[in-house]
Amino acid sequence: MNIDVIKKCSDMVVKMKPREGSGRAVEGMADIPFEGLFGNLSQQRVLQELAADPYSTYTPRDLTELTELTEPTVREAVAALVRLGIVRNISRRKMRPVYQVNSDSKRMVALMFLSYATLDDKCGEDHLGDAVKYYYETTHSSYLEFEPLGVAVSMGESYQDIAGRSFSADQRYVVAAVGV
Amino acid sequence: MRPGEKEALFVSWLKRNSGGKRLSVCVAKLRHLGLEEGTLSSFPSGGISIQRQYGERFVCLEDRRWADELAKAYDVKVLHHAQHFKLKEELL
Repeated sequence: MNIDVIKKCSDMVVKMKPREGSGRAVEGMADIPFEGLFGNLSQQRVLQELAADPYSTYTPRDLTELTELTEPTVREAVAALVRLGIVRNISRRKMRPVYQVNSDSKRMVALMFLSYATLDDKCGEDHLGDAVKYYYETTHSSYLEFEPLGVAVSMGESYQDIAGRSFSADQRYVVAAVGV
Repeated sequence: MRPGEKEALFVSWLKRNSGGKRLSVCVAKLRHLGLEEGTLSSFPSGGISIQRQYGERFVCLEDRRWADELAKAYDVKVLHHAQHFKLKEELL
């Protein structure tokens, strides 16, 4: 990425004035996307809103109300997300767009996990681990032909069988050698 | 009142917003989901709370395990491609 662009973005973050009220919000209630991990740019506000509820559909007006941004800013941010393939316009009417998260986008799933990770870091809990487990159970368990735990147990048993047989063979060898 | 799918979406949304959001934004989200502001008071006690700090009111998710169970019950915990989106047909 161009260094000038990075510098410009960081300047924007530094110069950004906190909104009245939210800027003074106490720790733990700061109203900034992903707890400020990516700064507070308008596109990220929209992205966090979509990651927080990817199941709903959104008009630009919905996103304006939820992000408290202006409608032109929201339209610009959503257009960028559409170009990135994270969001798609599902409306047939050109003048009345309705946006929906692209359910095939793994980045959106990752952002949902990031939401849980943000909460975990804040509260010292393990919602991320729970979410990953749930995701695995709902999407990937049917693709596997075996259960990893089952394989581990059967491998353990096999190992014990082999070790047991080896031990009894050793005993027989000792008995034969000593002639007892 | 037993929370339904829309309530589960709201609670999950709140949880993914670090478990707290300004009341005005929460009211906007309730409207977006087709719920009324009174829904907040219909949640079980200890589930969520409204706190006032520096002159602003925040909605806080208190019982995150309850939120988790609700999200799992309606399959809105994590996005996966097997899910079917319920589109707003009237808008399309």
